[in-house]
Amino acid sequence: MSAVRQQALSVVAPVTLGHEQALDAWLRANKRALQIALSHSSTTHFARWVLLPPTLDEEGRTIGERHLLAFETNFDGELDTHIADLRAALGSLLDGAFDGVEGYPGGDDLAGLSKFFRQSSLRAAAFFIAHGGLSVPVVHGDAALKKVVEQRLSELSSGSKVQAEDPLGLALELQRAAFATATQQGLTLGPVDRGLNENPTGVLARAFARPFSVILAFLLAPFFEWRDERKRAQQPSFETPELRAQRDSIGLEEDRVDQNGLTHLVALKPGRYRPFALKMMVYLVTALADAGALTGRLGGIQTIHFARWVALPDRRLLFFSNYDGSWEAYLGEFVDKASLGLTMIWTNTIWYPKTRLLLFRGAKDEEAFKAWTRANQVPTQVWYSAYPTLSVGDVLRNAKIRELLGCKLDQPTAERLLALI
Amino acid sequence: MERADVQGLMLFAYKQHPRSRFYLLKFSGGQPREWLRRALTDVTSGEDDKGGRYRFNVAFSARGLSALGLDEQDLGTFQREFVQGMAHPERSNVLGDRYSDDPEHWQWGNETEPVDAVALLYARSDEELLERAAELEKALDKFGIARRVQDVALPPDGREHFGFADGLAQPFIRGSGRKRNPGDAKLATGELVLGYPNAYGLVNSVPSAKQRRGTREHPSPVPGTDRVSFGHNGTYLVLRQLRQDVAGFWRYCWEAAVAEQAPDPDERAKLIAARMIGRWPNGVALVEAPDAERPPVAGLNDFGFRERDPDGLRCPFGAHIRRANPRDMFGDDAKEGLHDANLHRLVRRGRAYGPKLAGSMPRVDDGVERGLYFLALNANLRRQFEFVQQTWINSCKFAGLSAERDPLVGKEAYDFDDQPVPRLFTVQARPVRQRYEGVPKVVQVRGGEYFFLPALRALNFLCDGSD
Repeated sequence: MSAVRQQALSVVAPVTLGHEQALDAWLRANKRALQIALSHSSTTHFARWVLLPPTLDEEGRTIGERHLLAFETNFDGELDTHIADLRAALGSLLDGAFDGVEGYPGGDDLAGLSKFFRQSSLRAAAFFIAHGGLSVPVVHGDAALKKVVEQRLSELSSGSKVQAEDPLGLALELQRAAFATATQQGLTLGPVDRGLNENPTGVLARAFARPFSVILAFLLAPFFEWRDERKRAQQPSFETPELRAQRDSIGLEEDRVDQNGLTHLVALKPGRYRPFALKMMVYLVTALADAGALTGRLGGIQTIHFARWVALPDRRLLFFSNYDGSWEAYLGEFVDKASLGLTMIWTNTIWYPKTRLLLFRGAKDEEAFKAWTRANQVPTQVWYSAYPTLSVGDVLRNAKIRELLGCKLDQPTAERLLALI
Repeated sequence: MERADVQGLMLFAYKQHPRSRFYLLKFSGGQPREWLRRALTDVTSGEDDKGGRYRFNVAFSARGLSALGLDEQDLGTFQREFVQGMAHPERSNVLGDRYSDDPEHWQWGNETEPVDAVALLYARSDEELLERAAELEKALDKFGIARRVQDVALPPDGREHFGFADGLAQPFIRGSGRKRNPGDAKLATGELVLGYPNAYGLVNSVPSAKQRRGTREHPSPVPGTDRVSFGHNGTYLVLRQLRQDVAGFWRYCWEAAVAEQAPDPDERAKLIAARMIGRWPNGVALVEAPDAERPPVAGLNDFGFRERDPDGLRCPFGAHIRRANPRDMFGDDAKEGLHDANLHRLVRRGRAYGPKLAGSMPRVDDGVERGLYFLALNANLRRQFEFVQQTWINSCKFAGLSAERDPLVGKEAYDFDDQPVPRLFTVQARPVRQRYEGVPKVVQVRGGEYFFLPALRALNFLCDGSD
């Protein structure tokens, strides 16, 4: 079986003026229905609908006349297959979920839909996957196998009797249960090709393929950082009633399950240097993220399933992330483990904590960085996860269990298998 | 640290004053400022560490500060969590206060029983406590301040109601002038006291308030503004009333021991309980003594998890003391792990309420409510108290676990279909882990609120100004 590649779809399209409130209300009212419908899609890992309101630039001017609807997914395989799969899963909900979105042709017209999705989709500036190569059916299958094995173990262990059994015998017993279920439900046992044969050094080497432009971005940094700070107007207060209300509504939606989705939107700093620097930094970060994908860690963080930046044509930078656990823990890891990578990108946007040479300080200013992130978060109307109770660690561990269950067990592999359960 | 300006509770647990009474105050209809003026001289500072029959401290909720004249702009300079209050639905989400712990069931701290301030009175004996309490209560009556009263104490044997030595892991605060016990984490002053560099070497934002006229000494002005640095030398105080079902806890452990056909169910029950907690009743950590309780040899806080117990075979990964403070267990090395864990520490000043349930490992309840008044101090509610609660205690993904929460204080959870999520506890072992199912919820939240513990100069400030 060849590897299934994960891709990102980021459809961003304007909503007809005056229609945004109705769409917002419809999405909120049909949130659960959309989530349930999406659970019938076999290609969707994560998805969200989010209305992007006009925001302010550094001079206080409004960017964007109309709201934009962003519909984004992390999906398996080819885009056309994914679109057909989405259409089948969402059925009649599709029309409601894009009602008032300009250019949306209606769900009946598959070819038109496909064209609309392609034309209004933006390329990810930088894209991170923690468990690349594991398709939705494989993630679900692995979780089902783990459950079967746990149940069997629970049957076998009344009290501490299991301790006395020999590991190999026990592991074989669990393997038999897994085989039975795998056969019955058509689940994969043993390794799957994840297509992760690239070596990290090769990936890093690619980062230096455009050394001149990247070095230029750094060389120019001190001047533009000096200039931007001189020009920088008084930072607006993040403590306005509107922003507080927005944070309240985001906060109330968070931490319902073991994962969270984050949508963040912020304008680039003025001038021509920032788009260029952003492009170069994205280039560097992508290389780092690719290297990280091999270990399931992004800059030392192992709680991010999928994350990406998308540059909007109107000089705004969009960030989507699907992460495990709490916002505070996630942001804390940004500060403690991944501040370099984030600062490189976000330093090019407005009101970001003061940065030196595109890399230093920035996210290290813990309180300011967290306040800045929160202030630029956008409430997400609908957020979907195909496996809301699984952490990145769970997905990767379940995959290892499946691999071991598929091999011929001996004493050492049996012990390794048991230690993973 | 300006010890004369901070309230004494910041630096001292008042162990010489084990008997105490906590007053949850309600200002409405009363004259809180007049009362505070009267009480001001009794407030214990960080310098009063010797002698004296009493200790007295006072802290305010956002409501209380507002009643004492702080306006919306002033309150906007405090942490959002504090302004929202502990019973706010967003805080409930974060803290896991849902279902049976939902604020709607609380006795205080919720919408129906809001609290404006907490006054903490400590004495050496019950007689002295009663004597001083009578005076204090007379003053409260005089100024029309309603209250809810709870007697709390430091148990003479240092053991909380379940029977375990408690309060052993306390961080050492730089600049506090206190003695550091072996193993105590060294924290930057700003992790406890506002206005000083924190663990990141940065100063947390300090709440401020509009200047007032007055004859007393106020906090210093914020340069270039008409405001004073109200929060300087102050901190946030977390108070939660946690009921403990002591009999339920021991009954579960004993039944689990019987189900395992343990030859000595009592000994086995003690081991199961110790594994859930991570320490033996006498405080010795399981990392030091994984199989049986034995007398302490070194400092009870002087151990790490990483080297001694990388696989959780001595002290289970899900044990309460790992979740409350993972020490050096995370990160790429011990140093990094310890550094990261220490970004989320609390100074704990909790005390027990209710009589001890008689007997050792008692399995029959007497119907009397007992528990802990959990009290913690920290400079950043979100990064310290709430983080511990949300990311360690209540996370079902803690330390690579996948489906369980703190066996002692973990929240109640329901799945998408509104079915209760089973409460589990896993004991790592070879060849394979052991799992306890049906772990009862033995700790219940009965009330709670976020308070601000102002410096003495900030208390002066609150006393001044017109009503």
